[in-house]
Amino acid sequence: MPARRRRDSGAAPGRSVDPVVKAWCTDLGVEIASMGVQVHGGMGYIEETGAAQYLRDARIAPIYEGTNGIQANDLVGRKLGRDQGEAARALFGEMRVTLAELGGKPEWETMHRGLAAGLDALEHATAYLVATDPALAAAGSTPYLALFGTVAGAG
Amino acid sequence: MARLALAARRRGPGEFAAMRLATARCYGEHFLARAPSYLPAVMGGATVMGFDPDWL
Repeated sequence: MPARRRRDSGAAPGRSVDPVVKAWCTDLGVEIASMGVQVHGGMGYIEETGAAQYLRDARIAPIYEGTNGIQANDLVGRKLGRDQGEAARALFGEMRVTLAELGGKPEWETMHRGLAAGLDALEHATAYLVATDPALAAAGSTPYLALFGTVAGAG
Repeated sequence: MARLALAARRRGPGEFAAMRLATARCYGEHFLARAPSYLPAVMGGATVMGFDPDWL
């Protein structure tokens, strides 16, 4: 969505996804670094390749600058709670535009199907969290952030 | 991911667009496919809250 139209819409999706950017990217960084160790086999586990050092370095990122659990609570408790999910829904609207662009193209079939299913799940989860008891919502916040990041990363 | 790949394709065919498409498709098949599986955990907060702290 162009910046001017986004400003005029009154919603600011960008600020609402700050916790997703921090937490999802750092969690994925650990996963990718771990995969790097794995593909190197035993050589990845020992120090000579440097792969294990990347994994150790990546592992601190989900912990510092607000642990990813805190980021998830921020996303659900404050960002969603502040506007009852309005900014998030504006972002989902942008993703629906991308989804429509992917439609009808054979080379995008997998992505289209995956994004449609992911977006449906994300919208369903968002509606549930906005309406549910805050303590129960907080208990589901970490998988919600993972869902949000995975879908937003695609769209 | 998809948006970047679509933008690259709009700029014309070539190695860069092919690379973006391959990356997006790989993401779609290996990461995005997991997305709906998070939903039961999101809605399973009652299970998490069902543990008595004294059990820990």
